[in-house]
Amino acid sequence: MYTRDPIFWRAGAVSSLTVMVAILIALTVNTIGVISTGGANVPPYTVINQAIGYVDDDSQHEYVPTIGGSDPLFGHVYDEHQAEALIREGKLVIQSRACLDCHSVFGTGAYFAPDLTKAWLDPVWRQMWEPMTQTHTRADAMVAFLMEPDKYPTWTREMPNLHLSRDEAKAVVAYLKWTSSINTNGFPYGFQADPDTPKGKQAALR
Amino acid sequence: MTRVPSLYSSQSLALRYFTLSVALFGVMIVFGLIAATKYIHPGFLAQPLPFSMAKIMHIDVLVLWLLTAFMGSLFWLLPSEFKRDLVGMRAANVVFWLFCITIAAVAATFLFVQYGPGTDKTLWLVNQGRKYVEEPRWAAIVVAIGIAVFVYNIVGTAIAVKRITGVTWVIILNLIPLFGLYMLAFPAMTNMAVDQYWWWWLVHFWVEATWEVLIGSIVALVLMRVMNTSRNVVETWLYIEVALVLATGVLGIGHHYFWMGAPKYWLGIGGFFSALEPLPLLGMVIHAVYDAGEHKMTNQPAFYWTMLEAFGNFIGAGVWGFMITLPQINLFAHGTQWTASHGHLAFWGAYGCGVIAVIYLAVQEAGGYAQIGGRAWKWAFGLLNVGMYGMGGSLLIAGMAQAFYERAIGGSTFNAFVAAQQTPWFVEGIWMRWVFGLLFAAGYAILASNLIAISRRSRVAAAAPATLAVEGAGTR
Amino acid sequence: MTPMGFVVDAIGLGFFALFGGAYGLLYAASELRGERRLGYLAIASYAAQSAVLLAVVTLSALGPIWKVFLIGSGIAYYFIPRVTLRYLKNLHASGEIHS
Ligand code: HEC
Ligand code: HEM
Ligand code: HEM
Ligand SMILES: [Fe+2]
Repeated sequence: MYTRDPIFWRAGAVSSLTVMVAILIALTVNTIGVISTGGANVPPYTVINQAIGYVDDDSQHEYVPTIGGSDPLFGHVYDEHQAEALIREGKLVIQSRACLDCHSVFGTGAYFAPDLTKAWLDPVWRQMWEPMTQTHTRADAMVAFLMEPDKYPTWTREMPNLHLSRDEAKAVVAYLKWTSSINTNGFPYGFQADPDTPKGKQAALR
Repeated sequence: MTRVPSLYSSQSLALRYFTLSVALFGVMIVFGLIAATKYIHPGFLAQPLPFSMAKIMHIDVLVLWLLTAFMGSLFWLLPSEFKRDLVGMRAANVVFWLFCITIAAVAATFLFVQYGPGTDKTLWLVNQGRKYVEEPRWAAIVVAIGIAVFVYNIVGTAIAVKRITGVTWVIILNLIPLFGLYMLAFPAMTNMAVDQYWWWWLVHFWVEATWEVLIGSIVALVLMRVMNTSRNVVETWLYIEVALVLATGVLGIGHHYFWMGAPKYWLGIGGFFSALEPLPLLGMVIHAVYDAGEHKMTNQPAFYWTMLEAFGNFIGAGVWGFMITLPQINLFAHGTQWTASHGHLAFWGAYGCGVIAVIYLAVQEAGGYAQIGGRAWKWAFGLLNVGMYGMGGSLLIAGMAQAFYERAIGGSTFNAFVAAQQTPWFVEGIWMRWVFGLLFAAGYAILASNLIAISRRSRVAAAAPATLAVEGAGTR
Repeated sequence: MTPMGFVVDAIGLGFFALFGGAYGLLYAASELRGERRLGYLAIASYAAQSAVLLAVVTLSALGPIWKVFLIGSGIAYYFIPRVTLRYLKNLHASGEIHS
């Protein structure tokens, strides 16, 4: 019978692979468009000049990022090239220090330390690390913490000092501000963004 | 070294690869235990070795011990398939030593240099910082060359003999994408969403497609060897498996695209196809039970490890994966100890058990034993599996607590993370994982010494191929 | 989905697959060894799987499409061991003649 003939199943394997790979390629072309910077879900790097929030969107029953009015990072407005260079450096720092072998971004990485997807929006900066580092903005607190995390421990697990220069720390902060603006289909669920973030953005639902 | 004379030269190399593989297996366990200890006492070795470096050593060496064991398996099994030695064995031997040197150099880099400034140079020389493939680029190039030579050993032989069997076709056609996907270990794309999109091709299409096909082919070769199953039967079954694994596994990659910026349609596609992935694994369980009835039992350990490969694959990948693969659940379970629980059981069931079976087969054949048995392997088998399933269960408890308190109730903020890590369920789960980890390590020690004992004796047997009735190996 | 709901659902789905696997294993073993008792255990496993399925379908907050899908796989779980085993027997029988 044909079902006992290897040739039949060989043809089956080849054709199922072909069909699936064809679909995968089509979806890949579409997805890359959506996730490239400036695509539907991923804002351009200049989004670091704007206020970012994260709210529960009732119409979609999920949390979505919001992008509002101007909120310059480190009091500076970055043009397209500067923003791209800064974010590129941030990524290189994240890779060279292997941050994702303790942390995760978009939930991928390691589980020893918190997920960083929305770290930029975390209320903990204002509540805890701004006073500890004696800084007055979230961005400055993050820079201070990232440069010397061993000086500001909060519980038993400490982040080691990975010897980030000030520029490297700033680049990482920019990177995390950018990741917090990406639409991740509602992950992380229920994340309460810092209510202290400048107004206007909550309204500016994309 | 004196060896049983009838070995093909690629088989001598296979034995060397198996030795390397078993040694690396031990290294990975050491670093797994160090990482697990840091969950309990964060100060443990904190200064010299941050958690990140222990984790890198653990998971990168995991990939290595499995890859080297796969290479050894094919070097061991293919000559009889081609009815001749493989071509390019001189290059293959050079590659083996190159691998050893590279692995040692990268390990030294991870342990003593660890990281560097945020420049391309660091990615070339120190650390690429991408999970599972952190090795610096220079080393990744060596690995790529090594795999390319390996592909040449097989394809070149196939061309030389002109007549290729079905199983060999599958192996060759599968090795090409397996090698190609490794190229995704190099890029450092700025956009994390695009970076992770391609990185998952490497990870998912290795473990849920190409490796799955590779281990299927290896098991097919083993079955023909130990059970004299006819080639027609084995090949038909292999094609069925390949068809089903690829039909579900290719689009199953969508279960990694839920939350990284990709469009929403992946929730449906990824959930649907990956939820079908356990079904072919169930077929393999049935097949294993069928074969169990036919087995002549000349190599108990190889037999039991092969059986467990089928069941373990179903449990680790099929059951544990299925729990978290629907998007509504994955939203909370994602990126927690629950993921780690599944990762451990799946890797162990699908690949760990399989390569241990082949290694037992190889030491039997190398020594020319009619029988392999004894008691030591049973202790290894028992301790390793109690250890592994114990760790999987402990991490499942910790992971459920984490998913519940941090992801579902706490909203995944920093405070929610810290709070969840301190709940009793989580803390106890993490402790239990450590205890079961020790059992696993004890099982490893017995396994390694059993394998060493058997192959030591095989050298004696080579000199006097009489029957040696000894513990672990002998004729009964 | 409520926080507790997703944990319960995940446990349910885990048992669903686990019982499905146990049924396949026991069914094949009972057929090959001709042991009745294993056959009963196989049926019990499938019954347990169906019970879990019923509970998930009635109680869970999963969407209707996913529930239909789960019912479909529950049915597939019933037939896969039977079809596979019969097929393997025939395949080996014909294979032995060929080789
Ligand atoms: C050895 C493990 C380790 C490495 C590597 C590591 N971290 Fe951390 N990180 C931690 C731990 C542990 C904490 C919690 C520290 C505390 O509470 O005192 C933390 C805290 C943080 C926080 C604040 C937590 C939050 O949720 O907002 C940020 C931001 C952060 N790390 C970023 C980074 C970046 C960027 C890198 C790479 C340059 C990095 N970490 C590398 C372990 C690590
Ligand atoms: C004594 C035995 C072991 C211990 C104590 C152990 C411990 C660990 C620890 C602590 C992690 C890090 C998890 C994190 O990021 O927080 C880890 C990750 C991992 N381990 Fe193990 N491990 C052991 C054996 C194994 C074995 C035998 C395998 C495979 C066969 C394995 C596969 C993995 C994988 C795939 C990961 C990455 C999981 C992920 O990040 O999702 N481990 N292990
Ligand atoms: C041999 C087969 C498999 C192996 C070795 C394996 C291994 C792994 C590993 C190591 C991870 C963690 C990846 C990371 O973040 O680093 C993972 C994730 C995952 N696997 Fe598997 N897996 C296998 C099969 C399956 C199957 C069959 C399913 C579904 C039924 C599945 C579902 C998942 C899901 C949903 C995740 C994402 C978890 C998360 O969101 O964090 N896996 N797998
Ligand atoms: Fe996957």
